[in-house]
Amino acid sequence: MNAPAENRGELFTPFNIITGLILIFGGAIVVLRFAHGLSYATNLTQTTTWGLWTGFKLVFVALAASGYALTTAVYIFGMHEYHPLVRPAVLSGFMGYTLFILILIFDLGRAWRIYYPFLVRPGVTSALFEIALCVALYYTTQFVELTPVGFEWLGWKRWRKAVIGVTVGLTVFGLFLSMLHQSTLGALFLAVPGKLHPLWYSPYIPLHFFISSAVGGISMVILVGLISKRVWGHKMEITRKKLDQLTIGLGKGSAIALAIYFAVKIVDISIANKWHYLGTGWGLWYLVEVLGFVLLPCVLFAHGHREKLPRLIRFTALLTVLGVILNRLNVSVVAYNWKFTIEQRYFPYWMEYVVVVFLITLGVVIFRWVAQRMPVLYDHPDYKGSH
Amino acid sequence: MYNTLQDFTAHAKGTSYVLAGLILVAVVVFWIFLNKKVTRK
Amino acid sequence: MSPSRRDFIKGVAAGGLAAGVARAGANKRFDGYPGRYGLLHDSTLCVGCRSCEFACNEVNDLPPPTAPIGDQKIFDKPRGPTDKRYTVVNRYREAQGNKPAVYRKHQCMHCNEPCCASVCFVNAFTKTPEGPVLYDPNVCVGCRYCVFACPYYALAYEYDDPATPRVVRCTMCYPLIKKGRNPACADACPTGAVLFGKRKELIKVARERIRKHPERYVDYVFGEHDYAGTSWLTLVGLPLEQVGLPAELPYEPLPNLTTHFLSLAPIVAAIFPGLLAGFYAFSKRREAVSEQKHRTQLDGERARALAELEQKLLEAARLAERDKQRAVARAQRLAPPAEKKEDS
Repeated sequence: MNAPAENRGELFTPFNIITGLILIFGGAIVVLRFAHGLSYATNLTQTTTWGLWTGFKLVFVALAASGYALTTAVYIFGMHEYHPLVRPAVLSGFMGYTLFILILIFDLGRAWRIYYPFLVRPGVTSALFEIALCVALYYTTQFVELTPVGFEWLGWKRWRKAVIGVTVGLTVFGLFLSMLHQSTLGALFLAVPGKLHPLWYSPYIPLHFFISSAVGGISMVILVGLISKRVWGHKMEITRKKLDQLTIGLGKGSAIALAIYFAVKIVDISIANKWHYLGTGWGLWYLVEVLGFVLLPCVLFAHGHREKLPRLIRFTALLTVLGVILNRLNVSVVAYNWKFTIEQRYFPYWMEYVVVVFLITLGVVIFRWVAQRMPVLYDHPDYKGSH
Repeated sequence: MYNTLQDFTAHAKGTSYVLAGLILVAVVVFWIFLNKKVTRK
Repeated sequence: MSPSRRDFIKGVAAGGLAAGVARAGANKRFDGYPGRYGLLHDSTLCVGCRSCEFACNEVNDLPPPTAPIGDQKIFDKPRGPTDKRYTVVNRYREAQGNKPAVYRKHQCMHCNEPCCASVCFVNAFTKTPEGPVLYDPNVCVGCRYCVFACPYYALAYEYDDPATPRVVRCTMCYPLIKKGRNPACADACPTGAVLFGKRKELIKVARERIRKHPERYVDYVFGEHDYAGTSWLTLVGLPLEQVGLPAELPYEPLPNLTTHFLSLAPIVAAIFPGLLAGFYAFSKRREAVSEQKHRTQLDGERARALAELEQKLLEAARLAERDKQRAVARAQRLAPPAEKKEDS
């Protein structure tokens, strides 16, 4: 196994060099975007005003669902065997929301006014207002959920005890907020029935978004577990064997969630009698998304759970995450303004891609920094088994 | 009276959000009240 | 204050609030501000001179359109409103023989229930009593949800501006209307294809034209009822889709599709925390019950084990006693005979 040897003293590891270059280059582009305006760094048009960055706003939030998925399983439904995965899940979820906020700031025309909906003039009729409110509250909740990690690292025992005491309350609040904003992100698209292709447009988009966020969240936990174990090996407290067991269990949960999602999609088509769209070019693309990235992973997860195949489950988790990304991009960019001719259509500028890669790299680097120093992948020896 | 649906919705939703916030606080208080152990003297 | 007076005041306050709420919820129809203005665009009268574009740009301090009046090449590609032109005239059919070309002017429709106002999370849009929908750049954060949502693609954004980008669109010349004058495009139009007046009157004018010349017009006044109606009304000579307007729009205002879903949020807030806390309590209870069962089982087993042990001990004691008795008896039987002879 070629896990990179973590030599803490050395600054210029290959990983650091590559990520450093990406961060510097991407950072420069971000600065230029703010210096020269959106037209400098994007291909946004007057008829397509939400582009790749909006698509990735949705992706980051959907995949950040690992936080609420795992805390709900452990603290509300009492599945304590998954406890070792809670902190990595919440941390990666927190990073997801951080990336969401950053890319939102890059996309806004006047980002410095971002607090206006709360303090200056709330536009309560807007779905975006509800999203802003819920995300602000949820980000705070996740941050508080993570403070024990910091407190253990710093040795602040009483602060830690205070926060641990309200874990269940935070989890309940977090799940409630997540249900609201994950579905409301879908509700953003309710306003544009004429612009979003009928196969993707549905009065039930909010439900689809919520279910697929749970799906994406669970798969992210599987992947984060895999990558953490690969990279940090023995430093991660849970054994490979135990991780495999948990992975198989998560595979079962994923299979169920994907099955529900697939059923909802079928009913969605039949309820509006959209069958005839399936025979078109767009229909083919829709089938690729639903059959290849929803039904197929569902079957693979089920098989992997039954036959106890952690490697298959991990591969399927990757497939599922790609499917969630595909779905969010389809709804926001690909199938939006579907009637446009090629001339009228929006295609992202190369700088937009760079900014996305920059943000993902930033998320990975911060996750890595925290996980290497603080008790995320292992229990702090002073507090073993006490949470 | 509201001339447009937009005006009505803004008013109704604004009130509802405030009430929802109060309800959340009330739920927490109620939960604590429900689970407090009563000591008999 | 005595309890009864306090209660009385509370009761009156509650009653007043309830009455106010009940009255507010009482109107089922929203007819909009009475006496508001509108514009009627009779596209069959439009000759594509684009004087309206020039007038609009001048009134809004924009540079004049690059293509001069009379230029025909500008019509080769369809255009939409941008940050440099708030209104456009497009050609939808070229002249054929003695049939004239078909043009239509497009701009913000100033809807009765504007989507832009509904989706803005800082309430930057206002439907005025006079009719125009106004935009407030002082609160705009630049999220562009309004541009995203507008069904008529009427809004534009100043992407080139890094510091003060705004959403821009036709304003129905609100400052001019307030002074009692007409919007610039209405004054500039040489053929009378753009008329300004009270919306109610303009609808009557439109219907009258259709009645008088049924061969000239499609029997439809676009904007009368579409998505709850707009301030700009359009008469067309070709089917709506052929002049770039959406056909078969429902009456229900477009914002309703979103606001109906959003009303779930406070309901979820009322239900879910309690419900989830209930799940937690339920799962805790199950844990406690199973632990209790486990403990009872352990206790039972322990008791049984103890009882068994006790039994074994008693049995062992009995056996030991029995062995002792046997040993004593044996010892007595084997006692030396001499002791017996001495006694007799």
